[in-house]
Amino acid sequence: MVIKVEELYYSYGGERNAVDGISFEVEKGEIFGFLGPNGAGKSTTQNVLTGLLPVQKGRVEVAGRDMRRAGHDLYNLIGVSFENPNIYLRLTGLENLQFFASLYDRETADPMSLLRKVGLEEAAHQRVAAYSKGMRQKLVLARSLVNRPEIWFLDEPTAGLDPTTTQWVIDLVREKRDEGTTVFLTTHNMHVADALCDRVAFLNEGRIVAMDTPRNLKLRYGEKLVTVEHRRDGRLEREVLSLSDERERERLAELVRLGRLETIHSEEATLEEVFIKVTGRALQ
Amino acid sequence: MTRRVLALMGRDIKASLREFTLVYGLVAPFLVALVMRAFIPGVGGTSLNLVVTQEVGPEMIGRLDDYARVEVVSSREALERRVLALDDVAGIVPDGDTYRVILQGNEAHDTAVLPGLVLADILGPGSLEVAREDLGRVASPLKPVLAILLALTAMMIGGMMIGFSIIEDKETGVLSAVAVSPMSRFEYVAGRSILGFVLSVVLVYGSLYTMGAGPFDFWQVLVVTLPGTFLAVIFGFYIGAISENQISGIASVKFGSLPFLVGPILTAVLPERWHFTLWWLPTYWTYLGYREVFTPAGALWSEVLRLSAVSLGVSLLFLAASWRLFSRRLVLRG
Amino acid sequence: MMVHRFLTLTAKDLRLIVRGHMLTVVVAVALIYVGLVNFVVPEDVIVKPTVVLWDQTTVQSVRRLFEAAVDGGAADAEIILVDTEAAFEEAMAVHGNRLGLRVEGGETPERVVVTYQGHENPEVRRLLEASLRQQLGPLRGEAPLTFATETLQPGTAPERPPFNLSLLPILIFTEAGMIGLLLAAALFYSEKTEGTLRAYRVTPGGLTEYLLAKSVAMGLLGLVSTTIVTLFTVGLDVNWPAILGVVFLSAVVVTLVTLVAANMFQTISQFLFTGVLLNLVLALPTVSYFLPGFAPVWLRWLPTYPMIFALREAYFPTGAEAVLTGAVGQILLTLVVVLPLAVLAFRRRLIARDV
Repeated sequence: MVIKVEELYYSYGGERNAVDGISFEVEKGEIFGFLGPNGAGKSTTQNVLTGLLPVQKGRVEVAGRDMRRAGHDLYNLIGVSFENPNIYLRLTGLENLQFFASLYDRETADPMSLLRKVGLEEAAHQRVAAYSKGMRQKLVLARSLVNRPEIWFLDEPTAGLDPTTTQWVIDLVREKRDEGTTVFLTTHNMHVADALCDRVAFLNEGRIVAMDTPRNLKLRYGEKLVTVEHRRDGRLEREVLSLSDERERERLAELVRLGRLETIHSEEATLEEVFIKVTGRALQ
Repeated sequence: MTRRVLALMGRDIKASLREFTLVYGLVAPFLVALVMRAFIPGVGGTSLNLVVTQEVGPEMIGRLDDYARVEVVSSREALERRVLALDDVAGIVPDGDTYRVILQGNEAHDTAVLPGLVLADILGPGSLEVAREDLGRVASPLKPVLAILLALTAMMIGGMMIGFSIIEDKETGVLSAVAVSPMSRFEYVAGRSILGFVLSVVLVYGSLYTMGAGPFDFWQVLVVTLPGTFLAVIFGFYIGAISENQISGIASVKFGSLPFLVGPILTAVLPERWHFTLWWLPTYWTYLGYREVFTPAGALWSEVLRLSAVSLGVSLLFLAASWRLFSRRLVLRG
Repeated sequence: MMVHRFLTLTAKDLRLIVRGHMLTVVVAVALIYVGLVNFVVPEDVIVKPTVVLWDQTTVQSVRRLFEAAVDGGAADAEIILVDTEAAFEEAMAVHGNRLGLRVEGGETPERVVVTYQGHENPEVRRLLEASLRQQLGPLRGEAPLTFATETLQPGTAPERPPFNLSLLPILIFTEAGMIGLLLAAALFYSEKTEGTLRAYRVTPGGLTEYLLAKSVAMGLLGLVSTTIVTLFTVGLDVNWPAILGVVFLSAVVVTLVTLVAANMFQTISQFLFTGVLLNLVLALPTVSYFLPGFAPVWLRWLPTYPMIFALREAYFPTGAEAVLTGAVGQILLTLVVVLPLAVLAFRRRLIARDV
């Protein structure tokens, strides 16, 4: 296990705990997602895992180190990409990477290669103040990879990005996972979680309400549906039939027997629908 | 228009109160004034520092205490260490049936000469009768100078608040949001200025009263303060207009505060015949205006008005000279 | 590695300073100071109190004594001579630093009435009166009492520099020695706002290197200002290593103190006023520079106190090397104490607020 959390609590001093007794483990090479609406406790948990917040109560181990006593050398092993781009606006993209690369005690990736990888090679010598939002987010991702981390923390990596860039991020994360990097991802974007995560944990009001692979969660909590299109009296009709309902199963069988089906698609529940079912509230 | 200006002022007040900026801003000059108030008597009250060994004896120590601040140490070695310290302290030790003065060698003239003079006064015949009269002018001459510098600093702080608020608007992108509202540049400037104006005036009065700079005429202080505050607002907009971020804001403050503070300091220090070199500084005239107000014999309204008018005139010249810069750099739209 | 990180952090801070136009401003201000010292501030500024003297004795010996002192250029005061009560009162009616002396007696002065303004404290009055008795005693046939003086460091008598140059230690101290006061805070707040401080916290970089790097960057900036002002005012014939060393160390200490204070606030606007207050308190030792007799214990404890006097000794050596070494020692000791305190203060606050 590269990340081990036992009975973690965190309070900012209010009535309710921001993190209210959560436990989970992340295996090496896994993409683990924390899914939940704003204010669920995702970022707080990630901040505790990365040492930005102290462990108030519970036990947290990252890369085999107890976070109550972890020294600075832990940071040689992890990379963190923040939700809000936090880079020096008055330095160029290359200068930013060179600066952060120099802070590590181990061999780091070549900054120019990283910029090439994230598609910022041409803008390498431009000051970041001139970068678009997407470019800044790419630079933040590049920075979080500069030390070739074993554990990669991503906080809302696709927030505010266009679909093309979002897909690019997804592809990059998969690539890193394939290289053996463990990824801890927090997001409220269920498409990203569904596309990427080996396992997800649903977080609501500081508690984990469900945790499993996306497939298992959808199978367990989702409804099995089939969408069919058929012609009746020359008109194209569309029906959504539940395979859990006996009468609708018979209806489907009848349509198949009559040979009037033009299209047939099975539909699984989305993670959002599963989340709503489990928590009674939406992700966004 | 008034509604928008008031809305901007209201936002500034609300944000400042929430961030305690206004609180710190109102409190700090008073703290400064209190520090000065505690400090001034000490400054005025010292001419000579002496260090003696215990062998000098309590009676002699008591007599020396009438002339100087006396420290008593236990040994000759401790005395020599004290004399060799950075400040100017002279030592006195018994020398048979008389006394010896111990010096480091680099003391200022007074510290070198006065100890002997004090001993001579204590031990000598002293037959010359000296009587005293007192004109009752208890106010330290240092106090008005410091009061004026404090008032100018208070004004400058008001201006800096305006400047950094504008920088914050730039950094957070709020300026763009304002640009897509019906607010005009004039309204933006007015909304930002009025609070700074009022704050500066409040700070000036608060500081002066806290420092005990009185007595002074309330209305005369106002007449002198207003042109100075106008300059402070220009200063604030200069900071906000030319600075893109906080670091360049500090650079602007550094450069812009030179005429604000160096001017008055030079006015206080330079002899009159050199003052013509400072005529181009608005704060020079503000300084003279305050000096007139704090005159113990009472200020002449004609002088106060004349000096304030010149201060305002020079400030307007400053504004005219920097108008193009403001116009180009503080653009809301297009 | 820590050294490497420290050097990188310093380079980064210097780059940000230059791109924020701070270097340009520092150079410009330094050149302005050069202009002020060389062309505006006069070499000779005599600020003397004024004595209004009315010698009522028959032989006017006191008047002649004072006139001789004035003619010989040895007078410590401006002297206004009057002959009548009306003239005396008119002269004393002018507000300012004036002292009235009415000498009564026959052939020798018998009695002196000293008219004070009212703000002079008892010690100052006694010293004045002692001086009068000393000066006028010989006119009464009294032999002056003298006392032996022992000088611990002979040959260190100060040569008074011209007034304009005498301002150099103060200018260098306030401009270069205290250069970090607002600028370091601005750098810190920029990093808070940008979020780059947070990004730094998830690297192996520690707070010690972070704080020292900012302080050293300020120190180097201070050296630029110092070099320009010193070179173009007094030239090469000064104790350059001492000047640069004191300025550098002073800037480092002042920056650390500033960062500790800045850490207690969220934004630069909140910090501004505390910064001004801090500026005032740290600059108080300049008063001692102009009034050597003013050196209360609390003032001597300020970390900036030894800085000014070390600069004075470096610019205008009196041969008292111990002054320099002692001051530098004090500054280093302050640094050793302040740095760990700053790291501790930062660590507690950054973690508590997840900056």
